[in-house]
Amino acid sequence: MSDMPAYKWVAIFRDRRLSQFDEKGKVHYFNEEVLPYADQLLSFWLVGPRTIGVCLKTGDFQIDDLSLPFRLAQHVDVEYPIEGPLRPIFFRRTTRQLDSVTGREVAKPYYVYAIGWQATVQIPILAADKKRYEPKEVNVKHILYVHPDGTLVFG
Amino acid sequence: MVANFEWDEDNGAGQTRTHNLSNCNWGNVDQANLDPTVEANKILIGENSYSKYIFGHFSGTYGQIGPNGKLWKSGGSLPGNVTLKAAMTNTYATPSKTGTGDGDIPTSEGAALAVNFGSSPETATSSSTTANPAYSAFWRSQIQTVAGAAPGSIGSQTISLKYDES
Repeated sequence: MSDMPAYKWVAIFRDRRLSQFDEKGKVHYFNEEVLPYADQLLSFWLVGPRTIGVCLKTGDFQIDDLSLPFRLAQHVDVEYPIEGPLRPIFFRRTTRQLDSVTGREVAKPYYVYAIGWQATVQIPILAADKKRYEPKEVNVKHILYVHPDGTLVFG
Repeated sequence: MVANFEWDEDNGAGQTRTHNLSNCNWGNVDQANLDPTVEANKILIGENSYSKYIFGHFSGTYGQIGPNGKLWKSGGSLPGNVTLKAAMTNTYATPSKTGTGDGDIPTSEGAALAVNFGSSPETATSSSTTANPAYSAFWRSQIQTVAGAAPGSIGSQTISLKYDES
């Protein structure tokens, strides 16, 4: 039997809400049921010891009751247009430590939850002839890492 | 839910699989969960241990394992004239005492071995997989000693495996 994660995600779409674990106990998958529908997503949340959300329209983060007006999405948008919607980022980074003698984990697995957004941006790059700039697509991402003790780290 | 995880090891010409290892002791025998106190299992000074083929095995409820797979030695020290060699590979070979030709196992995350995943250790060639069950590539390892190595246990070594899961 798998362990329950400390943080569970909730996706708020324009017309519906999807929880990682719904009221019927069914498990939903981020890569299959959220990411492909990023264009319909309004916000994405991690719910656990803390409540952390990201607005997929502005790029702003919400941490517990505090709003973190990142506004980077808009800032970037002014200078370099974002191609397509902000795409949510979610993963759980696990570190396991094996003791070679006992074959057991030295400590409980260390889980860091990551939430954020990424987008494709066109930036001007100096061309090979160094006489002009040409557009190049790059991926920009903003991730908030949530550690087991509640510490938050922007990456 | 989070993925279930266990360390497995393959041994022998027939590639016999042992699940959920109770140790990963290196020794003078091709065997999972070997007892290093057995005289015949002790590595002779100046010789190598049998190579080991250990891998991560994921099951249960998850959508994807990886990317960002890393493996390194994060704890424990090795006595003089003893080295722990390691590499990630998709190729199983019957374990032997012949030097693997691998480098020293990295001892910092920054220098960690890159770990790929797939539906078997042999097909774990991608940085991430949605296969269920899923496996890491083989972590091939070997203790190598040279003359002057002190008799006795090398002590516990801590091996860290890091990966993303969603």
